[in-house]
Amino acid sequence: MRMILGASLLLAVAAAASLMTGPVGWSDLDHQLLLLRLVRLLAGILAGAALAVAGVLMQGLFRNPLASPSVTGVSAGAALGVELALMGSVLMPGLLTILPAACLRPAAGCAGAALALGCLLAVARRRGDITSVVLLGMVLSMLFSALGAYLLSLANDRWELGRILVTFTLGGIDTATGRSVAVATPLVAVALGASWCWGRTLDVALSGEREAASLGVDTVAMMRWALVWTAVLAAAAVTLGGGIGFVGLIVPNVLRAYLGPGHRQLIVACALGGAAFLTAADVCARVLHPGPGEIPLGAITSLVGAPFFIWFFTRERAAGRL
Amino acid sequence: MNAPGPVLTIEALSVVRAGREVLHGISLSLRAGQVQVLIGPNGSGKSSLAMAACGLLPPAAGAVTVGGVAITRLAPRMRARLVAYVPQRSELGSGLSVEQVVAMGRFAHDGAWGRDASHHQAIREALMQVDALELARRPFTELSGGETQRVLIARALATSASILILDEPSSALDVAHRLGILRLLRRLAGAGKAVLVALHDLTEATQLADQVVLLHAGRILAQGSPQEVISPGNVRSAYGVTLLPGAGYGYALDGC
Repeated sequence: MRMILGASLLLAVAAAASLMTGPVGWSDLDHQLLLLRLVRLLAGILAGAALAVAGVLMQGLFRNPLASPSVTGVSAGAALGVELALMGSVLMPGLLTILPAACLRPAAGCAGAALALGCLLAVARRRGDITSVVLLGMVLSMLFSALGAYLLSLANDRWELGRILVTFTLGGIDTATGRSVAVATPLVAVALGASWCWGRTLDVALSGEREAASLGVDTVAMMRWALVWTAVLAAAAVTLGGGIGFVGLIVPNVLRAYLGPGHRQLIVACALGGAAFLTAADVCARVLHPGPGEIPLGAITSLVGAPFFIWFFTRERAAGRL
Repeated sequence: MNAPGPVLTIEALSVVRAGREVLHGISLSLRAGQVQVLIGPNGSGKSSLAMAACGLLPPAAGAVTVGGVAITRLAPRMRARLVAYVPQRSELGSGLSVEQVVAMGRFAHDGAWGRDASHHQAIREALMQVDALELARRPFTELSGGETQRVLIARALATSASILILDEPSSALDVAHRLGILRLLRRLAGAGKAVLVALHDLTEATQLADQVVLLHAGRILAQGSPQEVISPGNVRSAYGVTLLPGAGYGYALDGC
């Protein structure tokens, strides 16, 4: 409970800083600017909560603390889906008559994330060892990123499209709109609620697939639904913020060290902690850049996340847990 | 007085794992209050039979029935309330207390939103039954081998299932802990549980079993009372070793 209160407090502080940070001071802020900052804040809260809880689901499912949407290629899959949707909506505007842009992007993101997760699941079922799954995840991540880079090179022929894709790839919630937040909010809310409901099942699954089945877990349903909700969360986060990595790795692992492995309270704490972390990172992206402009949010989270990943991997390896 | 009817029945069961038939036409029945021991050399199919009896391996032919219902037709939660499984070793990682591990046994009784009213009492009783109440707050991964097995049995007891299936629960333990586990299983059978347990040690099997099933290459070589089954001829056929006459179940080392 203390940890959840602490995460709530951090989120409140980060949210206040986010609303007050920008080229225009708080006292000069008009209604329009405040609304823009509010949309940006909400996008950060949603994306951070979604990424952190997606990390909890993946780590619980694969019983590996190194699993996360970014490490296992899920975020890259979702990003590729959104990039294809962005290109499609520019090159084939007719697409938008079938599905509005605010819905097309999350749908494409879900499809990309589901593709990555489907590959992971197939390997997990065939080989059963976590190392293979994590290695495949990294390969998928590189593959989807390479395909994304190829799309980017194609998009460079059209300046505006190239700019949209570059901005998306670098990651950031500054481009989030009220409509994208409105579409993402129910997706994230439902997926967070569903994830919490699967928490006890994931607790039992810590004992391995066979033991969990003997204790009454429908392991096939658990795997399927955990993957579905991970895909929804990752897709919503990518739609809002583009290529933001490592949130799903850092936040759950830090909070698990204090809270233990119980998934229900971890999911609540990670939703708050992830939201606080990404909001704070977004404030840093605005204030740490020398001169006008911003540091891409994805760069900030990766600058924190990459050393954390190495430190954490080394520690777990030394402890014989990996 | 008539003996109670079987609570678990296995009929002409065949199981295929990784494309290979590991059990062929196995039939047995287990009654409440009875301890039935599976013995046989490595690879004879004891673990596969234990898992199939819990519904963790699907039958390629034949059936496992609990109270007359095919185990494969039971929903996972219902199955867990009827049949509890104790693995040879657990894959549980760090971070969980003994109490949390035993609480997993109540999963099949949990509602969607809250715990069953008897949750804490059931955990406490399960721990008491295996004399492990004092371990409740200890981290599971810091337990000794004997304590770990007792806690895994407590988790199985917390399911309130009337059928207990254990896969070599004493194989990694010293003699004192092994005897402790055997006494516990006898006590549980005395309390009305039906116990099916895979064991390696023939002396332990003799001490514990009401019925013994000797497996060899996935088939039943013999089944019946311990004295009938653990005979020099059966042991030579199954294990390829000679029992020393008049030395309990000591074995002769070829060439010595």
